[in-house]
Amino acid sequence: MPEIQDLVRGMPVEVAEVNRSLQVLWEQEGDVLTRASLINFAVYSEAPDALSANTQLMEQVTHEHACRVILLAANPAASKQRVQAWISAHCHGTGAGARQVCSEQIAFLLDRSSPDLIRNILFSHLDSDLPLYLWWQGELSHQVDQQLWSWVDRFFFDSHSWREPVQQLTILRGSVASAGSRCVLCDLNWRRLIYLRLAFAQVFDHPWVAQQIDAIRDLEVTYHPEYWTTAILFICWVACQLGWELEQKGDFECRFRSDKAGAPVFVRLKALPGPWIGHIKLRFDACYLQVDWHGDFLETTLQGESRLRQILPAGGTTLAELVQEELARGGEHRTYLGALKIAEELWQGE
Amino acid sequence: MTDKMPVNPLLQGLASRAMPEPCSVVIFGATGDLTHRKLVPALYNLAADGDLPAGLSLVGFARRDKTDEVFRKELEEAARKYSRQTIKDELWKNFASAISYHRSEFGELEGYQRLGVRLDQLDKDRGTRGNRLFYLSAGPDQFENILTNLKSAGLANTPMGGWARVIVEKPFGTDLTTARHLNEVVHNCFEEECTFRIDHFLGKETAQNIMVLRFANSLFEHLWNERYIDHVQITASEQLGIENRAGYYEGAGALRDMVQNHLLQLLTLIAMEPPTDLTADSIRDEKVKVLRSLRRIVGREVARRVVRGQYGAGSINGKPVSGYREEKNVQPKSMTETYVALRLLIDNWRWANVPFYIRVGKRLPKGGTEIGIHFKNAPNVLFNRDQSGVRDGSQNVLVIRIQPDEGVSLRMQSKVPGASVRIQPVKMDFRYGTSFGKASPEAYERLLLDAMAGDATLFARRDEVEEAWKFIDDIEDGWHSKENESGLFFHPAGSWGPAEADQLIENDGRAWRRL
Ligand SMILES: NC(=O)c1ccc[n+]([C@@H]2O[C@H](COP(=O)([O-])OP(=O)(O)OC[C@H]3O[C@@H](n4cnc5c(N)ncnc54)[C@H](OP(=O)(O)O)[C@@H]3O)[C@@H](O)[C@H]2O)c1
Repeated sequence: MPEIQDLVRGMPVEVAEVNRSLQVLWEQEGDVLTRASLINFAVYSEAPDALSANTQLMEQVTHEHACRVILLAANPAASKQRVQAWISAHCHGTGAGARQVCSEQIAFLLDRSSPDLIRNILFSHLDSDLPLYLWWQGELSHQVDQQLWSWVDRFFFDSHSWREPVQQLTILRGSVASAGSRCVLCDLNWRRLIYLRLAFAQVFDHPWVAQQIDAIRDLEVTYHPEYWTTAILFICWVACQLGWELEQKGDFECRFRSDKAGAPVFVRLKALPGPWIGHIKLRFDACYLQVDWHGDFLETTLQGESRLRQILPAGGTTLAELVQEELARGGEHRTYLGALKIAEELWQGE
Repeated sequence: MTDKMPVNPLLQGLASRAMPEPCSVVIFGATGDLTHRKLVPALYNLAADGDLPAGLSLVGFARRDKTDEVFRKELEEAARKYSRQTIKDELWKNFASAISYHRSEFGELEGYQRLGVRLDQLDKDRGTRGNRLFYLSAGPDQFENILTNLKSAGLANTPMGGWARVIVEKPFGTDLTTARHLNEVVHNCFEEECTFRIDHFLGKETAQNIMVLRFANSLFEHLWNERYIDHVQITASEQLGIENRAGYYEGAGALRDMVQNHLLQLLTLIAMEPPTDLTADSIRDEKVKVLRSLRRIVGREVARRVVRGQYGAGSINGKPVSGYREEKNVQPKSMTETYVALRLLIDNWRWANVPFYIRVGKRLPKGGTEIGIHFKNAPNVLFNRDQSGVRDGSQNVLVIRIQPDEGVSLRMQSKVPGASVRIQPVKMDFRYGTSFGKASPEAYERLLLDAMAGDATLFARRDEVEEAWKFIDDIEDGWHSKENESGLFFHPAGSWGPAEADQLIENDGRAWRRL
């Protein structure tokens, strides 16, 4: 009989035997290991190294979020349909004594996958009565079957990884709507901004800054060249929360109208290697506000009548940390949907 | 006074709970133990999680002479020792830059006037908008002094349309008379909605989960009444003795120290009716009704319904420990109880004739706070035919573990595999630590954040505190009346209390849970 140590690498099992093999395993392990699960977390990817990369990723995610991990590594282009399966477990010490808490993982390699196959594999390996979160890595095609959509409670994706975000969102919206799904859209690109938004927003708690809100004249965002979509999301969040309307769009410069301010707000984007968003500068009539990302921290500085300086946490930057944050704090994402409306216009280009 | 500040549009929808407005937190007694062990580590953890408003400032008020620098250094050392998260230097530096020390005697009005000037300056420098949270982390004998001076210095009202709130530490009075007096003193300075009487048990994750368990699940609430519940047991046991707190403990005892506040609060959460909504007052209205429905224990009833005990010498974790009367600064003939067991009844429809047994003690074999809901036995037919007379082995028991190892478990009957029908209890167990990998925040983190946000749900209201004291005072009176004078029972440290406490529950044909 296999031992749990082997399982960390993954033990090959017959697809029809997955559930039974897991059961045998836990029976053998007795009191040393405790299986825990609060959600079914399925991860779909078509990348060639998906299984090992996602196994490592979920090893970290399960540290804080016990779940049944279901990895789906698909190869739709394969010539013949074939499904292989492995089971393994991510075990972590709980701090209290020797007991280890484990999240089980089932990994599938799906050759010549189809929506039917994905649905079937997923449905037959869910931990019953627990919510289903589906993380779709990479581009969306029409791979997700309607019935599956209606089962998904939270849909994870990263709009940063999409070559054509607007087209991808159209597919996403269409599929969700046609399935009548009420799943929550969890964009990891949005999660990237959470601490930055917090740091930026908190400056406006200061009564003096709050009074300047209608005197904003321009906004400059310096972003990592690969994170243009992230920068756009940030700008659109500001615009949406402050009620600005897009007047003129461009990839690196745009103009918003703010009815209350009575003057346009100019937005400029600058690409520079560094953090996702390394620097933000907001100019008011009489002062300016800067947010700088230095390693683990965000520094906000206000220069004007009064001078303020704050250091706040920047949050984790790995993919696993983004997922953990989303699992811990993610709500209905209504603010995201507001920002997204404007972002789509900008992502679309002129 | 100007209009209220507009809401910050950029903070809307940013987090699952609203970020509190920036404010100044003033801790009275800031060089004390509580500030070092709990309050400052809690504030740092909130800052490290990004949950504190950036403008927050912390002013420590105490009488010793020290500079801001020295004060910060002391707090840093304490935070490094007691904080749940490791201290990140850069974050601490920023957090510490918001800390300052204010030297003054509690009784010196001029010191409060200087404090006012300092707070006004912080409003300008850090944008705290006139919002002030005063934390009374001093001995209860100082509360009146502090509150009166706060009022005289005009600090109970605030400029710029901000708010002024006060957090009052336990103990909130020593009996009904002192609690009423203290309530009057507080009320003279702060409205009830601005008064936050802390009971750190309510900040614990599982205590908060009691309401969720009851009112977010359809499974339990139908069974949550005298038809299905046989009795309830609430246990709070400690291995520790009184440490260095003899001065306080000698005058308080287990009943005042634990039952009046923590355990009666847990009892109200278990026994309350569903509130009309989740606002602080709706919830507290229901809790206070429970306290009013508690059948008072008076006169001779005290000896029959309450057992008071004290630990003698014994051993804990295999090591010998001395008895209470031998502890430093304890009277050699002290009659203070370190253990108490009670049998309570709640006179309302839901709980008619369902006893609530409470026991609390120091130097018991194992530490833990748990609530056990014992359901009535299934009828004595079919599988249970031969079970009559068995103590409580066949009862379904829902256990809510408040600390440590927070969680919920359900005991139920199950068939032992095999050809014959043998039935054995099994346990379904949910552990916070297992299911939610992330460590729960400390109770003080949640409570400080709530007070900053003006949410009083997890704080005791004036009438709750007074009703609880009424109930406790009857028992104290009974204990100190002539007829009950001798009723203190001794037990060796490391045992589960005096035999009389076992008798109290066994008289009803029941037994204490084995923790
Ligand atoms: N410690 C705990 O774990 C704990 C738990 C639950 C409740 N509590 C409650 O919390 C409160 C504080 O407890 P603690 O343990 O922190 O007390 P503590 O260690 O004795 O500290 C008392 C504080 O009050 C200050 N102080 C005393 N008299 C003063 C005066 N006349 N003028 C100015 N400052 C004065 C002291 O300042 P100096 O240092 O300058 O003298 C010190 O900062 C008490 O109500 C206690 O019952 C404490």
